[in-house]
This record gives sequence, C-alpha cells and structure tokens, in this order.
Amino acid sequence: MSETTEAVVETHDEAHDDHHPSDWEYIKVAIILALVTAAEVATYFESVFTFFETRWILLTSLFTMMIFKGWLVARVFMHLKQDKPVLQQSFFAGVLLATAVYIVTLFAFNFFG
Amino acid sequence: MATATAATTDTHDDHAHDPHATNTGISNNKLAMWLFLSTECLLFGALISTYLIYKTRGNGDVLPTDLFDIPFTSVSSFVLLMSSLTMVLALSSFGRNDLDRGKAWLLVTAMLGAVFMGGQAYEFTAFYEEGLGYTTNPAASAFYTLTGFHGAHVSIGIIMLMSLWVAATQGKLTGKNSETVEIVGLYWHFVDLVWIFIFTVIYLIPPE
Repeated sequence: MSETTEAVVETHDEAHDDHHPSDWEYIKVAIILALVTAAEVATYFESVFTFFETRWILLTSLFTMMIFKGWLVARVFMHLKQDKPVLQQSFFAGVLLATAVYIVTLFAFNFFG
Repeated sequence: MATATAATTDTHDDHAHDPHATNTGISNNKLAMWLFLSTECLLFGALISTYLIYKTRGNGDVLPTDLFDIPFTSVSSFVLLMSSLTMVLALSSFGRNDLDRGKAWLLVTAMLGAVFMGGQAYEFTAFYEEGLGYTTNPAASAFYTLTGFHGAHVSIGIIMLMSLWVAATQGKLTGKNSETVEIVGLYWHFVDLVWIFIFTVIYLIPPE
C-alpha cells in the first residue's frame, strides 16, 4: 500500500470514528441528561423551591438547565459535533429566528409586564 | 505516478457510485431533514408563545396549571429522554452492521414513544374529567393545541420507527443504508428536544 493510499485510508478511518462515538459515550450523556432532569424536577418540591429566594434565580436555573439539556441532545445525539458546520448553521438559524420572532411577539402582547 | 493514478481512479469511482455525493458533501435527504427541523422551530415557537400569552386566561374556569401533575409528567419526560438514547444506540448498531441489535433498539424506542403517548392520553383524559375541555377557555385551547401537536409528532415518529423495523426485518434496511435510520433519528431527537423546552417552560415554571 502506497503512502498516499495509507493516508487516505487513515483519514477515512478518523472520519468514521468521528461519526460514531462509542455506545458508552451515549450512555454517559443520557445519565447526565437524567441527572439534570432530576435537578429540574426537584425545584418543583416545596423544600427545594424555597431555596431559591427570588423568582428570577429559579427561572435562571431552570432556563440554564433546559438550554444545557437541549445543547447536549443536539450536539451528541444529533451529531452536530461531528457533522458539517452548514447543518449546525441551518438549524440554529431556525432556532434563533424563532426565538427572536417570538420574544418580540411576547413583548407585543405585554407578556413580560 | 501509477499509484497516484490508481488512487485518483478509486476516489472517482467512490464518488461515482456514492448515491449521496453532492456539492456540499452532505446527502440531500439529511440536509432536507435539518432544514425541515429548522422550520419546525418556528411552528413550536408559535405554539409555545401562544400558550404563554393565554395561560392565565381561564374566564373563571379551571386552568391547565391548576391540574398539572408534575411527578407524573416528569416520568413521561424521562421516558422520552431515554428514548433518545435507545434511538442513538439503534443507529450505532446499524452503523456496525449489527442488524439484530439495531432492530431491537428501534423497537424499544418505538415502545418508549408509545409509553409517552399513553401518558399524554391519560393526562388529557384526567384534565377532561376535571372539566378542562378543548374549548373551555383560551388557556385550555392553547395547552391542548401545543401538547397535541407535539403528541402528533411523536406518533408520526413511532410510525417511522416501526416502518424502519419492518424494512430491517424484510432485509431492506442494512448497515449500508443506515443513513435512513440517522434521518429518522434526527426527527426523533428533535421531538425530544422540543419536549425538553415544553416541560420546562409550560410545566416546571410556577405561575406568579
């Protein structure tokens, strides 16, 4: 096998590995997602809820956990980490457009007071 | 020179026989699915913001927030979250050409989706019995429309998963065309992603 061919095969193998994280890696991510979900649900219970002295701390915590979970699912389970950047750009263009449009809508309807 | 030519010919042949060779290097089906999911963000964004605007408009009747059973919905959410894991394990198995395991994971994913749908059916029935119909008040309409649309997406996902399982059983789906599993997987993960947002924004954030 020539050096050129070896290099091509090696690159292909690396790309293949990049596209297939191990099953154990997926399981680890699922465990993290389950733990974060448990932390989110815990805020519902009175004893934990009172820990958050003000509403905005609770909201910030919930939104942070929600975005972290969404980011993990998109990056690892949907393979955005390994796939071409154009896919990430296409998807996040929709996410950002929707977020911008509907925040403006909520302001227009005095949702934020 | 001869080796270089041979390598070039191989590469050319690979591209010539690769049904997914495109200008972007991404298969058209996969790009189309991502663009579709991107537009779905606008659909669900509209439904979520509509609910947020109307969630306190109960016209003196019962509101969805009065009836939420957070422990029960948490279990449903956990089930859907774990279905994302089984989906990705199915894709991983097909990628390794381990068809039996791939089929088993597809079936488990569809079953977890069905459990989630069962939970939603139970929730809707319980709410209806408590007097919260679809037209009871604007809050109820917005709630049922949002969660109903999500449920419809899950149901379509289950149908796609079962179609894949049937195709794999008939030998039409193998490791070579595992991209089909990946595309259905993208849809399934997106449905899970939307639920992550609905669960926090609609269920977990307490009313003021």
